[in-house]
Amino acid sequence: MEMSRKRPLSPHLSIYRPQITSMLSIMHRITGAALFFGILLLVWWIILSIYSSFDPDVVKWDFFSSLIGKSMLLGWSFALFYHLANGIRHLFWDAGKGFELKTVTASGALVVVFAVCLTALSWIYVFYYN
Amino acid sequence: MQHEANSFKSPLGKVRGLGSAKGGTHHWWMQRCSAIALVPLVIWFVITVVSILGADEEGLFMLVKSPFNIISFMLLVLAGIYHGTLGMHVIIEDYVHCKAKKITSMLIINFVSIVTAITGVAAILTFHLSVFS
Repeated sequence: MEMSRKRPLSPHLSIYRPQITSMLSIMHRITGAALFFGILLLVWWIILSIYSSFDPDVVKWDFFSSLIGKSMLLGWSFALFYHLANGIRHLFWDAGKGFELKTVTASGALVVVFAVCLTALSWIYVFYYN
Repeated sequence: MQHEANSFKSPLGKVRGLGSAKGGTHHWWMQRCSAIALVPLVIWFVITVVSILGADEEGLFMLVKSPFNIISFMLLVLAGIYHGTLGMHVIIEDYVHCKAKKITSMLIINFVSIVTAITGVAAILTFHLSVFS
């Protein structure tokens, strides 16, 4: 028993220095999970709005006017743009393209720039119309 | 032939073409299919949500009355929930190691997804028909 415990383990996540590729990869999962709960919430909001004959209390959902609520909406919008762009990056990989180290780093940076810019643009537009 | 001699797969496993999940590549492939479908749907969704903000009440009504928008939204909901369910399966498989917890969380995800998708489609269709009657 003692012998088997001392055997070397293969290096795990905590050993590696964080890299852009691994960070973007875990971000894809986190944004994906966030979007899953987001779409469930969105659909239930619509279900409750319709079946309450658009009761203003249901439709307005005051929580999302609060600072925490607004930050969550901001997070979801970023998650949507990020997951969309990085998802397309994944589809290119599935087609066997873009695996060179330079390309992987460049496409990763492009995904982040795209997501940040589109999130900013959307919210600037939102504030412009309110 | 050299490769086959060194293979970890049993001859029966090779014939069946399925891994330890017993599902082959179906789960993976469905995740890609729904991902491809979601690309145009998400682009449509973002443009529509952003354009709602400037619309008056009449514009809003026109927007939700349009069959194109209603059907696009239902497709987005179905493809999105399906894609999300598949993604959550992968996350659970990777991080939940206790078999009982794994099966329970998978079941919860599946039930919540199906109930949400069916109730959502029912509500949206009911609303769509009420607008046209």
